[in-house]
Amino acid sequence: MLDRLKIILSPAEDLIQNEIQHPITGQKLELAYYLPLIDEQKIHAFITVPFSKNQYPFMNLLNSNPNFTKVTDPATWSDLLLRGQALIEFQDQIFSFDAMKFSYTDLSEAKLETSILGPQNSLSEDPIISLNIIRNAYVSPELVIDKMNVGNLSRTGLYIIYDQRKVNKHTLDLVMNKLASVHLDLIQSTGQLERLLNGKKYQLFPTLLITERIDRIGRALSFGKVVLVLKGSQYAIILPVTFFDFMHAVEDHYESIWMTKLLIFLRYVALFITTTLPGLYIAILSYNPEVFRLQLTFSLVASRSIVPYPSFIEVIIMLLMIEMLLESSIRIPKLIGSTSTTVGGLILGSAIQQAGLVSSIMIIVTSLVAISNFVLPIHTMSLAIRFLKYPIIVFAIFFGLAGVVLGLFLYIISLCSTRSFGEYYFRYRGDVSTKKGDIGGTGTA
Amino acid sequence: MNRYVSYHYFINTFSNIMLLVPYHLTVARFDGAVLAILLSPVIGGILLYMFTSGMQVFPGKGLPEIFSLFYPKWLVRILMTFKAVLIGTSTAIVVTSYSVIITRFLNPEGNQYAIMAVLMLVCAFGATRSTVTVNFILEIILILNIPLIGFIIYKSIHNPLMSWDAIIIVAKHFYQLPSLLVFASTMFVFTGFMNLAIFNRVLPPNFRFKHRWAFPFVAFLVLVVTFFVPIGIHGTEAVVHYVFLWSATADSLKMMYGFIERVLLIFLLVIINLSLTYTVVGWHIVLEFFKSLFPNNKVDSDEAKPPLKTYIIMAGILVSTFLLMFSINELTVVFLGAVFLIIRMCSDVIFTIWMYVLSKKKVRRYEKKANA
Repeated sequence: MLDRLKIILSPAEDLIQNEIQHPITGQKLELAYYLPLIDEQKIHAFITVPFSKNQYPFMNLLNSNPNFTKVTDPATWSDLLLRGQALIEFQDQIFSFDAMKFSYTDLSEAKLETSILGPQNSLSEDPIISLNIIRNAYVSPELVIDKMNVGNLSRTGLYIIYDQRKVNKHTLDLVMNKLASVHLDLIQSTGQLERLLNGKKYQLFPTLLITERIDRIGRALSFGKVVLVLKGSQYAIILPVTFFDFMHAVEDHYESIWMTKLLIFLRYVALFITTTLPGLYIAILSYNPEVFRLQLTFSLVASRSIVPYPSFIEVIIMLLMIEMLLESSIRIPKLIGSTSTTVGGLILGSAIQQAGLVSSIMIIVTSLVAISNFVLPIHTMSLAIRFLKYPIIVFAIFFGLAGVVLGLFLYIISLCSTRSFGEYYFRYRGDVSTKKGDIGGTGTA
Repeated sequence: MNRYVSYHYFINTFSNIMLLVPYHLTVARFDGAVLAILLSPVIGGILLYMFTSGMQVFPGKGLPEIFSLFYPKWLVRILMTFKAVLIGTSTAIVVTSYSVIITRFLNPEGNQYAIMAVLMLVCAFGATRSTVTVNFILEIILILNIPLIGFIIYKSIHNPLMSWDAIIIVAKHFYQLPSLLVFASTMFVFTGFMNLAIFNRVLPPNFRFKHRWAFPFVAFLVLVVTFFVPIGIHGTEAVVHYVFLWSATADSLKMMYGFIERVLLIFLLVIINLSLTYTVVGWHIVLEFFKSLFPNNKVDSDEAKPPLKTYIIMAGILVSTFLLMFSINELTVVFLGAVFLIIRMCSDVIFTIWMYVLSKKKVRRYEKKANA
């Protein structure tokens, strides 16, 4: 049975295939199961222990206990294994044993990517539990799970998961090479691994996606992506990814289509606002007040009339404040967290405006920038985007409106030249198909 | 993948404003401009057909590789240097005119050379990326800007102050024969396919050109708009008073609602984006032509890291563009632009026919081999 299983199933680290021989009677037992899908206690209690004790003829146990079912059709083997059954071959007869385990109760709630209608739980820090829910979410004999250890000292277990048939071999090679070249003593979190794998050292945008959501992982696997699960971390890494994956929340597939499309559009608007608004504020107030219609310009300038310094100092003060507020709300203990937002956001915000240090329009700009930054669904991308406004501010200080346009153009160049493990990061896909051939297909990529 | 071909075609079409094509045309509005506009799409279309069907015979190859299949190394080097210098001049003109536009309309107090230096550095960063990347930049910028272009065209046509009489009067002068310069200016709009000289490298092997008839047709409409709308807005006589004709035209348009009142600002935004992209694409082509001069140059259309020689050549291009900019003033830009347009038309016609002959040669060679 075991030889045949090797042909049917893809090689997986978590597929346990045992051959046990009783030392006294010389009887042979072949046993196969997926470790994460199985309650090992049950296997011990019902199979291995009775077999080794041999107080009762093992064949009688198999025939009498209703938990064991006789399997005649080999075509069902892979299906049975994937549904949490253990397969036993004893005296040329094959039985399945139901030892299924669902680990959903052991999971903590998703914190970073919450959703209303999707699954509420995140992955677990125990990789076996994570693999259990991944296997349960993506039930396919093609799923391959490789294991390797990363970190010279920590030897942290890392599981590399992909669909054998759909994965891009080139990508997989790149990932394996990259992982083999990781040399660091301690690897303790997925974020650390992300930075090590992230291509160039000074990369502006994340080229792999960190997620805690099982539905996102399942979807990624079905698109032929590679998922990395690190022991001791409840976040998995998905790669390769494109920029547009970061703009996409899992809920986009669960809710009303029109509202979803509107929300996706809204995210791009938010992206534009959060990167350019501070720069535009400087450019418009200090360089090109003629951009807006007259009444609007008057009200903008009027609100700034008591502020004694140029607009960019105002912007820098407010952005420093909001960044500190955000940073402190992460570090602060949860119990007193609301105090910092109240003091920082409400009291300081209104006081600084009344004191005439900052115009009221600037308060609006700052809050709009902060809010629109959090519209972006993925945490790592929203962090990367949070940085993008500062270079644009510098450009705006020196070159006004042209500087803002130039900054955006620079970002577009940098986005277009980014590659995520061999895949183009930022492109309009259109009707690209393998039949028609893709651009650049003549080269090595 | 036909859309990538169309991007290269239309970035050229839209960049005509930066190369002062509307200016040259309106100067000759009673002396053959209309006839040139009517003739050029036909000739441009024929050239497009010849060049693309020529290129199709050599999948995945750029002009330097194709020429070195047939001719000795020294001849190819001379030809490629010529092409590189030609395109380099056009990008230098574009850079100069948009830095002038920025200082004139957006940043009157700014230092023109500082702005230009930063613009050029950003463009140089873009141009040194791989060919595939440049393609994506072009695509994204065009997708983002075409709605704005459409909006500006819509706004200008629906302008109540537009005088259709002026347009009709100019249109009636269609029987005059155009001068060489006027014809070259209109031809520029239809010669975007020349970018394929490098970008043919990234097209997939089983690539077929489709909808080729639509390219000159759309470009013709764009040309008609760029020529006739300023005449309708400024009148038949006043229209020659502006060198940056379209900036003045866009400034005479007004939006009733919304934050922004003047269409000029949207126009400037579009113009900056398009010229930056034109410069990136142009410099990339120049870079690739210069790189092909090196012995055993390896062509990689999606290199992870540009080789050192790319940066050295890029620095050379930057320095020479800067020197050119210091040595010319606005009047010489107009003159240089005119000379460029004429030489470019001649070179395009010659290279297109040459390409076509070469492709026939290759086909014949294969037929001979198959028969033998």
